[in-house]
Amino acid sequence: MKEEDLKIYSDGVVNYFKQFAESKVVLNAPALKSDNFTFFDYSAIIGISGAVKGGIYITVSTAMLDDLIVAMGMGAPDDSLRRDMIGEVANNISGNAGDKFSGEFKISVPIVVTGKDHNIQLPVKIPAYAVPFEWKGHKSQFVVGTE
Amino acid sequence: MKIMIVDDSTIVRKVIERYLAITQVEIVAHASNGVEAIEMFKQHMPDIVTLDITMPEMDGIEALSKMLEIKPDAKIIMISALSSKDTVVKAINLGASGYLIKPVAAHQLTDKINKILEAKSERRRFKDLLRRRS
Repeated sequence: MKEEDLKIYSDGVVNYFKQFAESKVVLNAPALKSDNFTFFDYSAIIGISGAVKGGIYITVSTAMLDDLIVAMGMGAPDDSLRRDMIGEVANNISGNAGDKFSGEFKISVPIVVTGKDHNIQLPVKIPAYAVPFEWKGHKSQFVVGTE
Repeated sequence: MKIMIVDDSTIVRKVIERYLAITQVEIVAHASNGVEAIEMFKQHMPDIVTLDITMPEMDGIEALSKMLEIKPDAKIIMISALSSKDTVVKAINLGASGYLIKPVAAHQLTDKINKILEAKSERRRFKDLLRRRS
């Protein structure tokens, strides 16, 4: 994966959080995903197929999802809304990348994983890159592994 | 004018519903996948549909074709995170009346809805005029 490809997904994160005028997202430097990668409470995975193959996932804390749900005007957060919310964030970040690649770009519906010590391995033989980011002081990360 | 909201995200359906509150449309149904959407479409025969693409069971592209087979003059607005040109062109070629890329701002959707309503009203005025002249 090229550096400019990673930027496409980073731009997707910035674009998604633009709708919340009161707080900007802060992206930190990307790095190769290491074995001691930190998963937060909820993660959502999207498979990518077509001209680009691989996947992307995002992992965030319950507190961040609760703030996002409230910012969307959805009222009291619960597990179902948190799953919905993280799935939609992952869907936006991956889907928005489509116009930057030529050819067909397909994404799967999100798969949400929760619980203590969960782990995700993308089914690609190339290295995955992790991009830490913060929104309203909540730490989060997204990972991209495409070939 | 009757409208149906189709998206697999409860949050997105509620946000769209909130955006539509300031327009002159009546929300008659919601659906969370393409199969459910077709059933609800046949039941309510909405004039306008907001339709997501990436959904379980049946995606929005297939649902778009089926809805237009049932009611060719229905106005279907695709609302999807998928921004690839191939997908946009495919949806428009199949007969979608518009394509909005998520995250969608309220004014983007209301502008689109208002244009559809204006066009419909214009067609009605034109038909009335023709009827009076004949």
